[in-house]
Amino acid sequence: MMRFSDKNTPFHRIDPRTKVILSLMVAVLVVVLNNVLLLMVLFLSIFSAYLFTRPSLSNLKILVFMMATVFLSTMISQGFFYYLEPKTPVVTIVSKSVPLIGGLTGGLQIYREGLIYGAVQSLRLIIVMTLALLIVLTTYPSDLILGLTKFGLPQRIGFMLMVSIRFLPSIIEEARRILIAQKLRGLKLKGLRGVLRGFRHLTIPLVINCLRSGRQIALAAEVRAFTERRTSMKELKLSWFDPLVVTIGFLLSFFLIYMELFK
Amino acid sequence: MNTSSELIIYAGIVLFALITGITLYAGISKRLIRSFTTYDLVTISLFITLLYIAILPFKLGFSKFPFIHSFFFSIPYSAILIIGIRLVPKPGATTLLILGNTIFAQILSRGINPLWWPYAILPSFALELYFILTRNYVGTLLNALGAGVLRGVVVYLYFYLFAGPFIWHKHYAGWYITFQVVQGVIASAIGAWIGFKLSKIIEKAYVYGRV
Amino acid sequence: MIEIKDLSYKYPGAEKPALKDINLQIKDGEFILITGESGSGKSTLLYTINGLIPNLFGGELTGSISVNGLVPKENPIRRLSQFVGTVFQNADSQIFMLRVEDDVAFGCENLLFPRDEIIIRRNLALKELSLWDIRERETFTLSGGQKQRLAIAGIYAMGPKIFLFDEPTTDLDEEGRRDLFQILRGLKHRGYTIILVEHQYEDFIPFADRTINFKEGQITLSLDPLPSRLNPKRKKNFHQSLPPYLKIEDLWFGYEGHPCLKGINLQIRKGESVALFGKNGSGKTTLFKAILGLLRPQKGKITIEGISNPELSPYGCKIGFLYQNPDEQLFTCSVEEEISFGPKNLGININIEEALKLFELEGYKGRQPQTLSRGERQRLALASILSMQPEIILLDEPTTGLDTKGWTKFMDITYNLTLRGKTVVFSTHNRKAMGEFADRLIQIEEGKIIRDEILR
Repeated sequence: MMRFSDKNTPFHRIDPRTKVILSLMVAVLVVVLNNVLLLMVLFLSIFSAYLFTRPSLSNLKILVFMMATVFLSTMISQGFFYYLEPKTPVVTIVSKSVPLIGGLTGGLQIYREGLIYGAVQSLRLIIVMTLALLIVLTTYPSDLILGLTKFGLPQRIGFMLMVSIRFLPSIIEEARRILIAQKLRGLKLKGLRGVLRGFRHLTIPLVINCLRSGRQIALAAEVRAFTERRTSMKELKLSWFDPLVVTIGFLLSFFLIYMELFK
Repeated sequence: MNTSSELIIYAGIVLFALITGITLYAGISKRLIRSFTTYDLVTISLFITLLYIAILPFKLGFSKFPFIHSFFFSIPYSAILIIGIRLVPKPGATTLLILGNTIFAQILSRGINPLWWPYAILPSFALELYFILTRNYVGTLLNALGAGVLRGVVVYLYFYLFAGPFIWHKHYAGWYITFQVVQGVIASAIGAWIGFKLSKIIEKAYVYGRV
Repeated sequence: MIEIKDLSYKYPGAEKPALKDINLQIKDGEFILITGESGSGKSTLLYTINGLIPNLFGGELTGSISVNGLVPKENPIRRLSQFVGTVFQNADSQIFMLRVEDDVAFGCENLLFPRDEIIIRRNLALKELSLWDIRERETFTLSGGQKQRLAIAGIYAMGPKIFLFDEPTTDLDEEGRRDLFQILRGLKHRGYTIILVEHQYEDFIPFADRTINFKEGQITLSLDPLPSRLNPKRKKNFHQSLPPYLKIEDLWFGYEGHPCLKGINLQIRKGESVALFGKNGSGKTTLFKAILGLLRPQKGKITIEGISNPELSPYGCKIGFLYQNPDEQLFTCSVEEEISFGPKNLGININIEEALKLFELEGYKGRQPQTLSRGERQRLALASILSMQPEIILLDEPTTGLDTKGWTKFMDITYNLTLRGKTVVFSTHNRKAMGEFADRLIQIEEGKIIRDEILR
């Protein structure tokens, strides 16, 4: 379920806190930058960092598939809704003269400028997605939570997230078993009514079982002296690599913003 | 960019910073967190997982139809959210559920990304305010429906009026925005209705039974 | 040393007290075995020792109890957990972290030990509980026995001198129980005080310093005699010459190149009660799934009365399947609705009253299924499957989660079914259940049948 892959690449060794800072930097850049070239530069640097982690072929395929989906859907949606002049229609789906829909929408057409614009804007989302995947691949969930707690996340909340992650596979398994049990009792899940019934009959036992387990888990936690303050066995150590990465990140960001504002 | 959109951006950032500040302050305040028992926290944890599972089948299947897939997303999500709030009717529970689920999903698959936090902080803030003002944590169907509608309105309006144009630089026609918001609100309301009905059944077992 | 004088306790809102005038003294290093029926107060006593009662549960506690000089009422659970460790029944609910070594350290972190000390304690616990080699494994990949050991390790690392065990063998197979036995032996040897609550207690009796029997909240002097079958039934004339009803020929199945079932050959006749015996992971559940048609075998054939399985949909309902956990099969709002759910989907009419009577669920018609006791829920799950009138019923570990009286009642019902011509196959590692309720024993190990004998 978790897409963490246990390798030893440089990116794996970066402290999770650094990764959070990088995410923040990229988030700002993605909003501020407008120039296509600059966005491409940002994208390529992140993508090459991703390639550096030597991802598996299936992982690469998933990423490319997701990128393609975003690319196409943004292109098409912006192709529809481009509103600046000049706009040259490429495909007309519904022209202005069609009664009701035409009048209401002002005609549904796909514009060439819109397609181009959409292609460019999709880069923003793609950049964010790639960095996200990169982080997920190289950071173990409990380390990430530890990093967040060092940034101020309350310990009890960190525990909460840990429990959520820990029980995800069990709950999914249980949901599957419940669905099979229902099929064996002849429940048909076809059609709208079927889906509603299925949801109802799945949710009730699943939630009740979660509440039951929850009680057990809470008791077990109490008996392990669980309260707000905790020491931590694990340590996050900043290596020489981290400030280097952060510095590179800052330099790159300043460079890009400078280019954006003044060129 | 013209001055009016600049103004909107600045206003948005200030408002958002204010809201985030309040939320974080309250969140980190020990007193609020202490008001949750261990069992409350574990229940919320498991509901965070359930929220994630609720939209899993839709993430993989329906993403081919971006124009209506949020409809199908919102229904199970809202349903489970309402059940969760009803089971832990305390201030802060909603925020923990929504924000917790967002961070959970980010840790697991989407990557820590602050750009998506407003989707969590804004509806949480709005809903907490709503519950405090109505003094009712999904105790009645009306309250639940109101919560669902509120959530839908906040999330969809935020996206189409602010995040879309100013963060992602994506533009949509007015009629399309209306269509999406209406659809989002209806879906959230339906989900809230389903969640309310289910929570009454679940509670019967919870209170009188062996749970 | 634990001293208990005239201790009585009532859960909040309860009418009857859960504990009545308990007087008990437990010396350091003793191994106490506590037995009794479900609901007799055994676990409640444990909770008074570790402080969960009254600190978490509230209720009315009278009398006095002191644990190592501490009074639980006046000390936070946290403080008590440094002296008293509790291991509960379900190992899964006691594991919080993703990695084995992280989970062992969880308790120590809560006790605010400094980092170096945590690492020392953690390593000690890992080695003591034979978890050192798998310390970097992810927790959800562990077997039942390993999870149990992990739960114990987490408590061990915290360094208590008193260990409380609340029915730890419930989910374990024979190997798991043997493992647990060794662990308890090791602990006793090192002088820890152990209080073990169990209703499958026979193995532990010679080992314990004292055995205490609970009945309705009080300590009784005598041990409940092991219940014998109410009506020992003689199997009717069982003709070996009957043609096989369920036939499995050369069945092979595996997951991703990992073979689970290797060439299973099996013939079961109508009216047989078959016990499927084997370790966890030996292939019992996989075999059930194959019979149900939930898996496609790589090789081999399964036929029922000559009709090959792929054409038989399980919802055609010649085959009924009872999960080990009945709660995964109960999903309606009332007992009546639950029982009639299946037949309604199949278009069969049934007599609810008769079904309720047969399963001793009279009076529960409108009740929410989750409000019944574990044994009642299991009977309800069985009823809701039988209402679809299957010919063969597969039961996955029907004796776990029930005390002896409970599963005896249950297996009586299933055995009676075979007297009426139904076929029953149940997987188990409960030897007594096998001995009393099976006509035939099939032992499966690593995907192969290694024993197939007629018992009567």
